[in-house]
Amino acid sequence: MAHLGEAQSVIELFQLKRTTPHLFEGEALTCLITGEGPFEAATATSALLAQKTFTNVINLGIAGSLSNNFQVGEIHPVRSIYLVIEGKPQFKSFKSFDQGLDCVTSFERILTSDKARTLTGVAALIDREAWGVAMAAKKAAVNFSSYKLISDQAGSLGACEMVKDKAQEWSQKLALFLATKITGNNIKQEVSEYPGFYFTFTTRHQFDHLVKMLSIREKKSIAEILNELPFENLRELKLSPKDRARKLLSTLEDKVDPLKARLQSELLKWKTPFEKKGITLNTDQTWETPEVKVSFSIQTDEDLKKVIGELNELSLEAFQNLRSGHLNVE
Amino acid sequence: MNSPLRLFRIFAAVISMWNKIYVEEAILNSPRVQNILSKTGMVPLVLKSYDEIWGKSKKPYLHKRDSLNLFLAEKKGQLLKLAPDAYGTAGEPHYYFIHAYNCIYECQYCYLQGYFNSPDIVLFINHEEILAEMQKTVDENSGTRVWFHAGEFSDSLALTHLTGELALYHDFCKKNPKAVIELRTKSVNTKELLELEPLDNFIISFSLSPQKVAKEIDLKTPSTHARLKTMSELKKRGYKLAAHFDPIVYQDTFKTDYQELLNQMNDSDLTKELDYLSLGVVRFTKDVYREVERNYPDSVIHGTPMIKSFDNKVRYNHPMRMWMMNSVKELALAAGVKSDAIYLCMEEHA
Repeated sequence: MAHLGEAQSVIELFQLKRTTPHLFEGEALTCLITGEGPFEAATATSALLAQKTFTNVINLGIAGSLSNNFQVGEIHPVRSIYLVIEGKPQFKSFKSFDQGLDCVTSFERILTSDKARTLTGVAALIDREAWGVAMAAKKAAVNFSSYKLISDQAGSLGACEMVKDKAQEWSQKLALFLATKITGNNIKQEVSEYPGFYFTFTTRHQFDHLVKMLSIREKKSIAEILNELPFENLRELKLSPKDRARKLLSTLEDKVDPLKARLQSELLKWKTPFEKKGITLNTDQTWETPEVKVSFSIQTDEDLKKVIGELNELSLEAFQNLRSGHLNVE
Repeated sequence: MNSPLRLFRIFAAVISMWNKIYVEEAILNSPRVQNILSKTGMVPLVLKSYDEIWGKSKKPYLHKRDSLNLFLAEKKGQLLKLAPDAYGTAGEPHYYFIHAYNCIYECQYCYLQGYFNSPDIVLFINHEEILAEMQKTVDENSGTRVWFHAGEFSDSLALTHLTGELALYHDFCKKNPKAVIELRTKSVNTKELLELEPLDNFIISFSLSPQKVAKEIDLKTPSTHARLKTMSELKKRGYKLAAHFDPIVYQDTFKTDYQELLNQMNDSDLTKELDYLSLGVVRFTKDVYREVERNYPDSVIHGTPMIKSFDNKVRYNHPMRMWMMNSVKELALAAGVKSDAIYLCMEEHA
């Protein structure tokens, strides 16, 4: 896999142990984080295959779609893998499955629709690694296969943000998909001891972590903390089990982070008046950078004048004060 | 026949905190090494260079609890290191000098647990060379005060009864009024110190946490009460004192805890007399954080969420740490600490 973010759920689900900064190993599966790009993928995979014996190499990850016929979030087996350098297809290609979608691996990120358009005749999917991994596997004479989750429409506006926002969900989807391929079984997702709550293994991990944190902070046992959680109240709410679990996690987060609820509410107060006018104020979720990204859509000069007028009312002071911890918290 | 000396050595070895003592061949017969050995009562193992053994294999940090070795060696290479930004009061050059690696204490947040491959202690005995380097640095920075901090890689007082080097550094300060030495410590081991006259440029700084926090996270250290008592004694003798509230760890009661600590300091008239007070909220490099999780999974440190911050260190989020630091700063000001004596340590905002 290319990035740790993509692989996170695979690591958790298969309980892999980190043995080097880029390698996670378990009984039946080893996960290599290759880094982004075909060169990186090829060298990292070759190095690993030179050290250890494997029966199969699977390239699993996200890919942009070059076609309108597929939905974001779908996972497809890959048929053939091509390479493009500076938009130019290269001679060598590799095969993964007899059926599936073709994928082109690009040396560069495809950030504009123009660049994406020229590649639509080459393949239906575009990624940054598959060709490199395939080459290394073929050279080492190890079986190779590839599956790609469609993460975005290649070259579209906001594709990168979308990938970021959905990273956790897709990581989880890839992990579950891999599990069905490896074990042939669906992983049971719901945790049975909390009826009415739907935890995936990732949210279950978060839940356990937050409960442990709270038990440390309040110097209580895990059982005591669990007894005090509002399971019954939440069960009475007309929510889906998944949303109920999410609400429970949010309750726990508010308990362990003394400022979270207050910060979020004050931040919302600052953002909402502008959002109502179609101006989005994006700030770092971790509060670490002071940067504010302002975005809006316009179609006419009139729209532009109006937005400029609204922006004259914008001051960063409230956000900066929050970031500097100026809160009336006792 | 057991001679009295041999009996003493056997007795001392049994109660010793050291598992083994290693000495570099070249310094074995030096009076300084012989003096240390005589105090431990142990027979050393001799090697060419301490790093033939020390740090060669990864020794888990908590092995220090039952198999702590001592190495006596000469420091080679860099003897002084320029301190990073936001280290010490601003506007003047700050260095730390390296006369030891590792510490006898066991603070749960200590960065030494992820810094070296071994918790074994190395005491460097070539103080004259360290001092020569300090003199050179002072000469190169004529016209400005130059700060030298001890205690970056080891507590600066805890083993002074064994090592006996304080007088040399004190003498350096006496001869160089533009040089300031800061001895950072959690120790109450002031026997050697009290034999020296107080100097304005020889500052003893104590790391302090509220007693209830210190009890949980400053393992095997003197209590906060004992540290404050020692500070009070040193103040009465005329010593320049400083304090570090670092690391500040979040607990729901942190404000009242620090208020109580400042009250205790005020009871001994310490707050108004502080040369400086540094404030720092708990933070870790990624490697150290991993070690802390492994070594102390139930520590109070893990009771509040942390994030990867602007410098890749693991910390509380920005509003949280600024809120905590400002809260404690306000309490300190109200307790009489001078405004210009307070600095915020290792943060991008002063």
